[in-house]
Amino acid sequence: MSFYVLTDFIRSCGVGTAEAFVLGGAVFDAKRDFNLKTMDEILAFVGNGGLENPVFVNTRPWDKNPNPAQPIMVDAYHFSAGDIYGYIAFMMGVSKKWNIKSFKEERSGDPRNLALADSLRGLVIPEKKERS
Amino acid sequence: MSVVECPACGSKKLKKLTLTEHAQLTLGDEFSFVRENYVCETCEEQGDFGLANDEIFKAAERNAETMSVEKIIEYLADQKISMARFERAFEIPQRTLNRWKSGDFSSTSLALLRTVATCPWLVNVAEHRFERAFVASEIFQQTVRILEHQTKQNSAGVPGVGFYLWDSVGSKGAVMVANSAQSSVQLVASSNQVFPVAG
Repeated sequence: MSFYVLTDFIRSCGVGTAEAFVLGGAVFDAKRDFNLKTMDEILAFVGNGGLENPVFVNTRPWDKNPNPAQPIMVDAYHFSAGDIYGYIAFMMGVSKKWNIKSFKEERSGDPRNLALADSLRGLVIPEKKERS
Repeated sequence: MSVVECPACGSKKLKKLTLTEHAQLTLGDEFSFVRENYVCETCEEQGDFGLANDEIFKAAERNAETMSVEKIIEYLADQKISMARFERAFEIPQRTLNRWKSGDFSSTSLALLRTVATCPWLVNVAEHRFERAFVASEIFQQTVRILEHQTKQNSAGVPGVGFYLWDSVGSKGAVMVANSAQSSVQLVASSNQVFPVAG
């Protein structure tokens, strides 16, 4: 069961950096995997319904918490963004802002059956993108 | 001036770095910019805690986009798509592209230019007012061109797509044969109909 209410997180992302923040690694991965190039774009994407079909993965304590006596939980979800199967992890930071810790393409365990699409694409495009 | 703190743990013990980064513009050139990066000395999380990088990036990207717009319009002219033709086909005011070349363009304008630069035949579609029958015909003709090109590349017998045109009494058509280790697909297409053939 998730620790946070997903819709609360999404709504705050829609507000922007006043209520949410994207940590450095997630900004880098979002640019590489989703072509979302700024923090504003990432938050607006999430806030505007960009996380299609979110599926809860797990909730875990934040591993870098300097104050373990007051655990901060991190929720993680899989989602779809068109052709891309993604992973997002977020927590409520001490600053009372949502912190997106991870935002990347999930390269393992895509449950969607895209075998036919991949096969047909591979007939025409010699170097198709591998799905692991 | 507000004090910068770590959004994760709230610490103000931060180290600030500046880094030069490079980015690749979509259908354009590489560009560079200098961004700020804070590292929290308490929890080791890092990021743009000062919220400065978005503006820095957008300014650098805008400069690159302005040059890209000019290059795309020149490329389209090389493809015999003049600014006047583009404007008439897409029903946008005359001299719009001149405005875009001077830097007065929106992200939507740029998206349209990139789309047409990638598929110049879309101008033909627009000139025919996006009529469905014409679109289908144009897609088929473009597919033929791509697959003919593919056939030439696969002439050494490498598994892939072979495309052959046939012309018999009463009709013209095309056969596409895909050979792979897993399957073989035959698709028979005519100028009027497209239908699969088992095999």
